[in-house]
Amino acid sequence: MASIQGKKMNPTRFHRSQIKFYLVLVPMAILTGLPIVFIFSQALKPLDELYLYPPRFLVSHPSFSSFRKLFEAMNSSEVPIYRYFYNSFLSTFLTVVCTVFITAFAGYALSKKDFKAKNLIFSINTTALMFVGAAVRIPRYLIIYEIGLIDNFAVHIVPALAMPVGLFLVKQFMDQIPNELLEAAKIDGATDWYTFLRIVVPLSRSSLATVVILTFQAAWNSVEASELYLNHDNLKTFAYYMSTLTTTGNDVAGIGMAAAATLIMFIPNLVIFIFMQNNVMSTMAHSGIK
Amino acid sequence: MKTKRITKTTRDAMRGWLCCLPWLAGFAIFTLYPIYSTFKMSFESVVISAEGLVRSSVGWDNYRRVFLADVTFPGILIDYVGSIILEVPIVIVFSLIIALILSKDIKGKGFFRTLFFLPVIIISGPIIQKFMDMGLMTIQGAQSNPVLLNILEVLPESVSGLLLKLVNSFVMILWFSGVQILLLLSALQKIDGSMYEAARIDGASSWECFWKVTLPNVRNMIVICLIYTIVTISTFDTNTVITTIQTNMFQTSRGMGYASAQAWVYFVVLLLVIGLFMLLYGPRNEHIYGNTKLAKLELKRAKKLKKQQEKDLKRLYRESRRYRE
Repeated sequence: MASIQGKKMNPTRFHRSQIKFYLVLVPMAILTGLPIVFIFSQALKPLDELYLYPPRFLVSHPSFSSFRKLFEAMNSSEVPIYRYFYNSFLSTFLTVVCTVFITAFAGYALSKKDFKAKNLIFSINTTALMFVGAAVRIPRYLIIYEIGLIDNFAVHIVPALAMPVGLFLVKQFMDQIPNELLEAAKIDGATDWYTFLRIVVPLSRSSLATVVILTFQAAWNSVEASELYLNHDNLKTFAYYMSTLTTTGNDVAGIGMAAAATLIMFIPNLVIFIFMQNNVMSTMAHSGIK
Repeated sequence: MKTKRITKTTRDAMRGWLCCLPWLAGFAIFTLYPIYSTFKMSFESVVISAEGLVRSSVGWDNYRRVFLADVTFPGILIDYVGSIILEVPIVIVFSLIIALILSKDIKGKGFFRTLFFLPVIIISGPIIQKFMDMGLMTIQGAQSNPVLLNILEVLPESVSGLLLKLVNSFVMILWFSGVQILLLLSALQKIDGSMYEAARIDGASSWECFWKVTLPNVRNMIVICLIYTIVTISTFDTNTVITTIQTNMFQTSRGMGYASAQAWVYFVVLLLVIGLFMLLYGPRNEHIYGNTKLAKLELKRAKKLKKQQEKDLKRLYRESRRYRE
């Protein structure tokens, strides 16, 4: 069934017998692809089309009126808009970089090192995954208050660093790297650090790329820190600013601005995704893990 | 040269701890401790007042209220368990089918892979709520389909309700499969092609190949996907249970203590659900040996052998050092 390529069992080019696959793939692909189209078309709708009933999926007279309103609103904000952008980019960047390092280290240790309590740590992590995130909000606030991170820029980054889902994925993926490979490296005189950088990380690149995408998502879209832990406006993020625009602006124009804001918030996600997904897919195919 | 040396295994263990440390610290402070404090709060009544939080112990009262006095919560929980038991296998089967097709060498493979992974970036964003509000998550017109309506009328209400829910959230289900497709795809690509060849030579059909070669090989990955799916679906922001807990949190009549108790009940239910799935599909190693007892014996013998070898190695090492000195 799978991966019989190379044995020339599968045709290399399009063949009539493959049509059945396309019959499944194409409708599913359209279903999953629709939301992207929707985001764009919604942002370009003029006001009258936004209130059309029944709502129409595609825009028929595209216009930039929503964007114009959005930019007008931005210009009238107290804190210059680039400040929000700067905060968002800086916090997202730092969060992603640190998280990837921390997760990779922890995943490596939990997967390839032998020490007591290692299985315990991992099962605690997996169980913690299932706890309702919203319910810990107040205790978390108390902790952040006690540490003294209130009104500190680091509050965007520090609480987001230990990501249970990420560790779960990375550790499981690293488990698939054969121990023999590491032993071979050790025999050839590779240090721990070298083995980690040159063997473990490249082989688990696809799971790390997934972690990058997930972390970026979480960090870029997060409003929790700005909403709860920060009082100064010039420390807050762009995501928060967007959410205030669309929730306080309760007037008729609000929904158009919300759509435009959604598109603006979405584009960095898409860009990061396009960059990283290439990494995810290609290494997956030639990971050499057998 | 008589200084006490740290053995290799302890050094390895120490490095392991060191690697884990940053993650462990963050996890303990920002995830584990808050969870522990909600546990404590679930036995207290917590009132937010001007002077801060006022906490007083109430014993099992919160839990008693969750089960005996709350009108809606048990119903929501039962609904949720029903839907998750229905949805999770669908997600897994769907992602397995897509992964199987994508692991073949068809045209536009890269494009399709990207597309199916795409929901990952939308599903976690705030955008999803907007879609739900617009009813985009359902297949338009499916509910008024005469065939479907007839089927629904025949079935008992409890079954048809679930079925209707399924139709309503079908697109949503597809959207939860992004990471799963990826994981399964990677597992499929790791299967050795020569295994299929061997099976073919022995006269296995593609169908048999799928059940006897493909499925056992991706089994562990399926278990990982199972856990991942349950977790993402049940900690998803728009999940009804979570929204209920969230609204209760800031209500003065119920408050944080009550919401914590609800969260813990939900947590236990989730663990039970995962336990159920594990019982059904959990990892099994017997099939390699066919016999558990034999496998265990084999394992014991292997461990013994390894220990002996390690001992021998150590002795050799010691002797060689003495020799050098």
